[in-house]
Amino acid sequence: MIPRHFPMMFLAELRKTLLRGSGIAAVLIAAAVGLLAVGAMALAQYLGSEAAVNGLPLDQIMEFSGATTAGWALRARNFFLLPLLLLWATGASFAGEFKDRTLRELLSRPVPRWSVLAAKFLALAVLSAITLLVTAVLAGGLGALLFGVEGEWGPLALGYLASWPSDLGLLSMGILVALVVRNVAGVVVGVVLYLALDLVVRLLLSLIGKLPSLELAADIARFMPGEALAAWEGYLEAWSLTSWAGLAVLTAVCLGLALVRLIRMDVP
Amino acid sequence: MPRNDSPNHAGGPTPALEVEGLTRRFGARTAVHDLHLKVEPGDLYGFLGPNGAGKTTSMRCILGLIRRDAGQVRIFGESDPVKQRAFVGSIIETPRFHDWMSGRANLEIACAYAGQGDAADRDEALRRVGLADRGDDKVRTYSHGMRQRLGIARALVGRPKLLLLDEPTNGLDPRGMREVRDLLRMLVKRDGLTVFLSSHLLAEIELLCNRVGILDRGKLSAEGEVGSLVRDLAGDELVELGVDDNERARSLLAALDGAECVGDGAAGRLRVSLRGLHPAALNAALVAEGLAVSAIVPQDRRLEELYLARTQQEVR
Repeated sequence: MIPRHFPMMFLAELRKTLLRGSGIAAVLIAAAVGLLAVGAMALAQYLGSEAAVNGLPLDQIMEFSGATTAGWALRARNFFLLPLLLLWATGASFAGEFKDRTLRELLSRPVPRWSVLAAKFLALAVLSAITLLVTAVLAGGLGALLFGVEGEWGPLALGYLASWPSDLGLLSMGILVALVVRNVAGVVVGVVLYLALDLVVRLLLSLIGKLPSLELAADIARFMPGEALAAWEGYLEAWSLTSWAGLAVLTAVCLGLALVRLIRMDVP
Repeated sequence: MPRNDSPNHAGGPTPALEVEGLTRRFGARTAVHDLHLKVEPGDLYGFLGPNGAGKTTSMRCILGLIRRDAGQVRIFGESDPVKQRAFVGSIIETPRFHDWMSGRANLEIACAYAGQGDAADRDEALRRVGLADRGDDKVRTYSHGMRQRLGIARALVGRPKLLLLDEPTNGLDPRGMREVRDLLRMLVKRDGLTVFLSSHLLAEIELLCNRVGILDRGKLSAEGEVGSLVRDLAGDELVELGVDDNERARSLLAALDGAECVGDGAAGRLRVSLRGLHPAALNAALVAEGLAVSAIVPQDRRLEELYLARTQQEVR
């Protein structure tokens, strides 16, 4: 049964999540990504025909608009730094509180353990949404002001929306790892190492899949967690049902295992 | 405030805490073995034992922080762990906080998890432990004693009926220790709380508690009302004996039924345990052998002796 004071628990967790160093850094970096995308786009426009890539002037290969700016910002956001910061926030919320023994205080209260996990997960989900919103508003808003409102806003909005469930999948992985390694740095390093390994395995499977009668290997690669976490990229070309199904399974499995772990865990 | 004043099967008040057959093993080592405890409402119960005896493990099991391999825990008759915790405020080992938040903010988080949204409760808890004027300071600026007091304030959040306190005066100066003792007495007397308290400080337990349990290597070796436990320690009476010749007195005592020299007392006296022998009869026996008896002083049994006797092997 959901504790009747669950909203209070969630707000308490949100307050901690947003006020911790990791939460503040995530919001600031999200803002910086938005501003840098605008700055980079302005620089490219300023350089115009003077700068070239592969012999082609920038103003011929780039489209300068608010939508394009926000699109570049989204790709930059999702590429590396923000996922790391979200993992750091996840580690601080679970492994950090375990190590600091503040988790003990929460679990001594008249609430089921699953509700503690749910309150923390929702707070992290809100942090992720805030970072997306900050990047979108700064890059899209300032980009539209500077470069005009033309462009494909609809798919871009879907890209931002789709990044949120992708973040939730990453957070779920982070929570599971946090409850196993119980160390903040271990969460970041563990998930990053896993995703690097996942990428290598997917590349290998894709290569193997090109061999005659081994096409199945390429299919397997499409179901791997790294592919699922990139489900948001569908807005660029085409949405992949496999990736979304994989993301749903990944999120559910990670949260389920994390829940079992938390319920069975001895808290010192 | 959670209420559960319903009588138990025997018609008496429901025990505040009942532990039956609690066992917890860590690998091959049994940290707590078949522990049975009963704490009545209004008790100030002292839980004693040497380091590693299993006190903190027992308290963690009672709170449901760690799994138990066997046994049952009922708190005010409630056996559901989540519902049980509505009755309980606790400090396990050193209280830990979010150091980067204020004391008040830490209490607000505890309130959120306890389902208590009333700001007056938080302020009252801070005032009770003397932190009303430091509540808005970051916990990282608090001294050890202030953190301990904030821990007590946090334990009081949610209006518990039972306080489980693991070494609550740890790190406090004598004044702070006295304040905590006075606070606990007041909580029992005025607010009707029950306190289950572990401590290494025997004098503190003796001053504060009406009942004690002594844990030795995971087993309860003695439990009961402090005074009667001490009296019943060995069924004997302890006196200090002053005579003109201690060596002769030792020889005589060794041959005397119902008396035994158990060591040296103050001011060159001998400590003598009497089992069924009246002090007057001891005096007569010694005088008859030509010894000059200058004093036979009855000694109060102390909790320390009971503790040492019940945890003897550990101490040796």
